[in-house]
Amino acid sequence: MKSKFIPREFDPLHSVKEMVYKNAEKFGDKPLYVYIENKEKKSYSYIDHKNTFDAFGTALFDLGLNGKSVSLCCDQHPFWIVSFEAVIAAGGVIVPLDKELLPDQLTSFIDITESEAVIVSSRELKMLSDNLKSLDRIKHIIVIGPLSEEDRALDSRVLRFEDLAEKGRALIEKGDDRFQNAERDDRSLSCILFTSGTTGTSKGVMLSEYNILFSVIQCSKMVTNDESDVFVSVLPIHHTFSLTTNHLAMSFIGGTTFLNDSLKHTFKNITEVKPTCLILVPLFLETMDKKIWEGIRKQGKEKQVRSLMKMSNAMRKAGIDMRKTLFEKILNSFGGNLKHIIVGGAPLDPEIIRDFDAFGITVVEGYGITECCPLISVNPFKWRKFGSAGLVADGLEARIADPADTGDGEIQVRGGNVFMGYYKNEVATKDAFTDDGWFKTGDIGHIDKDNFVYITGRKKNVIITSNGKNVYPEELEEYLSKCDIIKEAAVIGRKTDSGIVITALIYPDKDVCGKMDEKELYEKIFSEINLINKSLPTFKHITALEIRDSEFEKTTTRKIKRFLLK
Amino acid sequence: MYEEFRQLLIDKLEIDPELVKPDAQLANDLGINSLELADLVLYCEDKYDIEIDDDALQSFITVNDVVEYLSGIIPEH
Repeated sequence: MKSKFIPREFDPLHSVKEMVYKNAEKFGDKPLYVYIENKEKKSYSYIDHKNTFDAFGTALFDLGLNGKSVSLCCDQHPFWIVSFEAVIAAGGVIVPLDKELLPDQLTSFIDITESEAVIVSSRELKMLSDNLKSLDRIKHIIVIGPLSEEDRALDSRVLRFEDLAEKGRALIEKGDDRFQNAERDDRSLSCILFTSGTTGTSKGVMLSEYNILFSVIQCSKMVTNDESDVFVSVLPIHHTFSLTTNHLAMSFIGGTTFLNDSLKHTFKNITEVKPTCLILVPLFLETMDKKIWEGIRKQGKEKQVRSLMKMSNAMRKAGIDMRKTLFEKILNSFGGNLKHIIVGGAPLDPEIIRDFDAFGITVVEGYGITECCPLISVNPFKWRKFGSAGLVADGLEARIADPADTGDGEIQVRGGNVFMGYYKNEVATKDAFTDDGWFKTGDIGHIDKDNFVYITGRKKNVIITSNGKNVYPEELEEYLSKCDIIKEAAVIGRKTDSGIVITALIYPDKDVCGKMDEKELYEKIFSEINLINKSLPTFKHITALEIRDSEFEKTTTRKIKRFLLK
Repeated sequence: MYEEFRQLLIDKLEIDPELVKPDAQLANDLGINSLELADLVLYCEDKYDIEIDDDALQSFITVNDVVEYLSGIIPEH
């Protein structure tokens, strides 16, 4: 069958620097970012970005950080992207880290990646200052955004990002062109992204500059946004989904992105900024859909709205689209200009896609994985298939290994966006690829005749929450197994009406629990769980407990048979 | 404070009144996700003219956690 989608063509990019320069040349004074700092709205253009990139890159040379590993951990900010791009362009390795991790976890990642500098905001500086004292390798701590004298005094290695950029500008004026002339091997290691958790359970995904740029072009080809588009960025910037799809690819096509300043302000910002496109994980759509229907029900208009939706859908089949008028109030709650929502990270209920579609907002699902930087497939805006994770991205090959009668098997991929391997983990790297060089995604599914991917299961144990975060049960089980009262523990993600609930299945140690009754035992184990939760970021919290009175069924190698757990 | 917050959960998020108890877990027992909680926190900020730090959101696991936090920063409660 002939494809209904022809990807856009773009010239290949050879370096991150080329991308920043080309973007500035094409889009000039147009705002790349709009963001809030010190309660003030600021605009930052494509030209500003190029100038700051050159200045900060030159400062990196001046500090001797060219070619070095640098960790980056703070909230989204234009200078986050500058840091990401400039470290790569200066021949170094950038290590974006999750700001929600605990100080000890962050310190471990900074240490094992042999980072010689960390880039943070004052929040992380305060959080990490005691830990960083033990890291001798760190030569500089660079702070993005406001920095008080008190914060500056926390460590003698503290430098302000803006001071460095200023110094870089002065050096360029004096003829320093080391950064602008710097070259690097685009196939060498340029970025390490950790999959999740602690250094013990997390794997460092190694990406080259080539991988990143291949993915930027791929996203731009598959998702047909253009320079008229306005985005509100609400997802964590260190995730490849947000980083590549929103920040890198959508700047490559000339979009403007508003940086959401707090989860609290998400809905208010969306209404005020009036975006044309949003890049989200299912949690946001589920909450938005719930809010819409709660509002409708409160007005006693549910029946009326459902009839309107039916009527409108029928009219659309006849070529008449009245959605802008019929659902004006709902559309205005998103600012009134929202046309598209790209959703990834976890599966989305098709009912929600239908609701949004009926109101006049096209929702497209995609599928990606950090190891593919991340895009594997996405539904094109004008060729969507319900229930599918989308059309295999241009330039990527996908196949199903050892398909069962149903056609389902492991999804394997090959292409320019597939990662280099896991950082300092040859065993895991070898295990991730087939003998003929295909990456084993660990996801189970099938591919239809039009090259659309359908995901039906997962080989790995990872729990994907509805906000797209990966939770590794092994990590939580490791903590649980340290409690005296717990003999065996397994953690699963149980699907409920309110999303995925991280549930601990526990077989207690009867010698320790003695004569406790059921209630006492439950309370005792839950108090242990709460202690563990307090040391973890919220997305990893165990929120449900089930106590078993028999041991788990195990394999011959004494591993719990996970497939039996429900 | 507990009664006020309880009423807020019932009115704004349509939570079943019978489920709202001091030790009820926001996510597991009441089905409130992080985004809904953030939205609720914003509502409290406006209502009581206070500012709640984003990091504090992370520590709210039960109804009581929120009530205690709010009681701590709103003197008359």
